[in-house]
Amino acid sequence: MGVLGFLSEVVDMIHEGKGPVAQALQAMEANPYEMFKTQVRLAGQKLGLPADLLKIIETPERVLEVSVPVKMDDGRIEVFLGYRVQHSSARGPCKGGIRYHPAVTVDEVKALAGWMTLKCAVVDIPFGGGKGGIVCDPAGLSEGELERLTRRYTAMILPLIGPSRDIPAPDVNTNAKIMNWFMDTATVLRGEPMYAIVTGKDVAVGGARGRREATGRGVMIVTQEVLARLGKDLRGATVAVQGFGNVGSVAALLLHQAGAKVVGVADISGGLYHPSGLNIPELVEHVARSPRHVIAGYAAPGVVPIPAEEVLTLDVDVLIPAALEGQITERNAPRIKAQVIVEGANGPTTPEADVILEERGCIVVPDILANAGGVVVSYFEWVQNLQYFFWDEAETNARLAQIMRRAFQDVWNLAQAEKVSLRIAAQMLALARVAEAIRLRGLFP
Amino acid sequence: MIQPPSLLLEPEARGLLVQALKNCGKKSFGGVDALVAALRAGEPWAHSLFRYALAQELGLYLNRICPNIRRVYVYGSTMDDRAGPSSDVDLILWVREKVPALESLLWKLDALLLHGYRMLTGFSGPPIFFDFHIVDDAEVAERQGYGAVIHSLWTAPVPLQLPEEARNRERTSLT
Repeated sequence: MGVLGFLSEVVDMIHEGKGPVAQALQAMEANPYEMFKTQVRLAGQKLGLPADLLKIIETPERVLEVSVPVKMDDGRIEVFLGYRVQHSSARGPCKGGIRYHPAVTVDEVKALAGWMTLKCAVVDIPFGGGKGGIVCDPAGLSEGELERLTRRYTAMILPLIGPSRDIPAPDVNTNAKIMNWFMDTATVLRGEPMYAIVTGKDVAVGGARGRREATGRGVMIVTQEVLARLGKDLRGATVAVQGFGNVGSVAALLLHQAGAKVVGVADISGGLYHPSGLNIPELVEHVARSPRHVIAGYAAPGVVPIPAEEVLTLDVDVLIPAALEGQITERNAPRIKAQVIVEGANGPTTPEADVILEERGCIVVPDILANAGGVVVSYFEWVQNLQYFFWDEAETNARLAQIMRRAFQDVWNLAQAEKVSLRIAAQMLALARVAEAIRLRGLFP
Repeated sequence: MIQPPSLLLEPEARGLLVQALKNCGKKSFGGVDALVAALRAGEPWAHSLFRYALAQELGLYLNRICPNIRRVYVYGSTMDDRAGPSSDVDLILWVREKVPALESLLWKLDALLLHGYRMLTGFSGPPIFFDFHIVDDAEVAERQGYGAVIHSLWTAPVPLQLPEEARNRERTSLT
C-alpha cells in the first residue's frame, strides 16, 4: 500500500472509530480541568510554590451536581443535569457565571471555576472562583421552560450559595433576565431580599449602572496603559477591532472618543476599513438599527469593505480581538503587524501563535487581565447590593479605571522583574495572591 | 462554546500522536496495531522507537512554529533502547533566545500528549512525558546548565533527525 493509501486508511480508521487504536485516540479528548492544572503547575513552578500548596489550588473546594426536573410545555417532565463548582474561597466568596449549553461537563465547569479564581486575583478583588452550568439547549426551550429550569436550578443549589458564599453571574446563553429570576427565586425561598446573591441583573432590580459597557471599557483602559508604557499616546494611535458585539463595539467607541483612530473593524458579516479612521459612533448607530445587528450595509465616504479576516493583519498600532476564541493562529500570526494585542475575547490567541508573537516582540495583554472589566463591575454590583446604596455610572467608571490601571501596573511590573510575558506574569501574580491567602489563613483543623 | 485556549492544542496533539504511530508502526512493526500491541506489552524496544518517533514529530512541529529553535536533542533511555512504559523523553531545545510562551506551550502540549499516551497504552506513564530543557545561545556558549550537556562527552545528547518525508510533507503543507 502506498503512503497516501496508508494515511487515508488511518484517517478513516480514526474517523470511523474502527479498532482499538482508533478508539483510544478518540478517547483522547482534551480535558479542560487537566489543562487548568497544568497551567497552575507551570506558574507554581516559576514561583517556587510547594507541591502540596499547588495541590490545594488545583482542586476545587466543592463540586455540586444536581438534577433539575422541569415540567415542559407539553406536560412531560424532563430532568436536566446541573453543576455548581466552588473552586476557591481563599480570597473571598466564590464568583463566576452560569452557562446553559448542551456540551457542559463537570470538568469544564471545574476548569472555568479555577480560571475565575485566577481572574479575580489578577484584578485583586475580594472574590474566589466559582462556575455553574446546566446541560441543556436553551434555543430549544420556550421562555416558560427556561424560567422553570432557572428557578428549579436556583432552588437546588441554594443551600450552597449566598452573598457571602458564592455569587453567580451570567455566562454563555444566560443573561440579565435569567439573573433576575435567579434573584427572585432566592428571595422567595429565603423570605428576605437577596439582591446580592447574583450579579448581572437589570438595573431596576439591583443591577449596576455601566455593567454592559464594563468589559469594553476595561479593554480601552488597558490599551491606554500599555501604550503609555511604550511611550505612545492613545491619541492618533491606529486600532483594529475584530468583533463588534458588546465588547468590541464599546471598546472601539471609547477608543475613538479618546482620540484613537479605529481604522478597521470586523464581525460575522465582514470587515470595514478606512485609513483615516472609521466614524465609530455612526457605525454603532448603524449596527443598532440593522435587523441582524451587524456592520454589513454600512457605507460612508472612504470606507472600504474588506474580508473579515484581514482586519487581524492590518498595519495598526493596536489589535483588539474581541470576537471568538482561536482567531490568531500560527497561520496568521506571522502576518500580524500590530505591536500591541489586547485580548478582549476569551482565548483569541492559540498557544502556537503566542510563541510566534512573542518571538516577534509583540506585546499581548492577556484575556485574564484585558477582559476582567466585567467581573470588576460585578464586584461593584455586589457591593452596592450589600449596602443598598447605588452609585451613578460615573462613579462605577472611575472605580473600574482605578482597579484596571492598578492591575495592569502590577502585571507589567512582574513581567519586567521576571522577564516573562504579560500572560505568564498575570498567571503568576494571580497564583501568588491565592497562595498567599491560603498560607495566611492556615489549614483547618 | 468558549473553551480555554490550551484546548486549541488538542488537534495538534492528536495529530502528533497519530503521525508518530504511523511512522513508527510502518517502519518497524509492519503496522500501527502491531506497534500498539508491543507498547501495551511494555516492550522497551517499542517504547524507545515510539518515543523517538514522537520526539521527531514534536521537533517538526516546533520547527514549523518557532524558527528561533536551532536544534532539538534527545538523550537518556529513549536513545539507549531501554525506555519502559513509565519512562519520560529527555529533550534539550537549543534556542537563539528564550521566549516564555514556548515553555508554556510545551507544558500544555505535554499534558495532552501524556493523556493520549495513557489512553493508547493503558499505562499511567511518567508524570510528564517530555522532560524538556530549554537552553539559549549564551548558555551553550558558556556551557552553563544544560548548555553544558550538549557538549558532554559522557552523556552526549543526539540531535534529532527529522525524517525527509516528513520535512517534505511540512513544506508542502505550508505552500
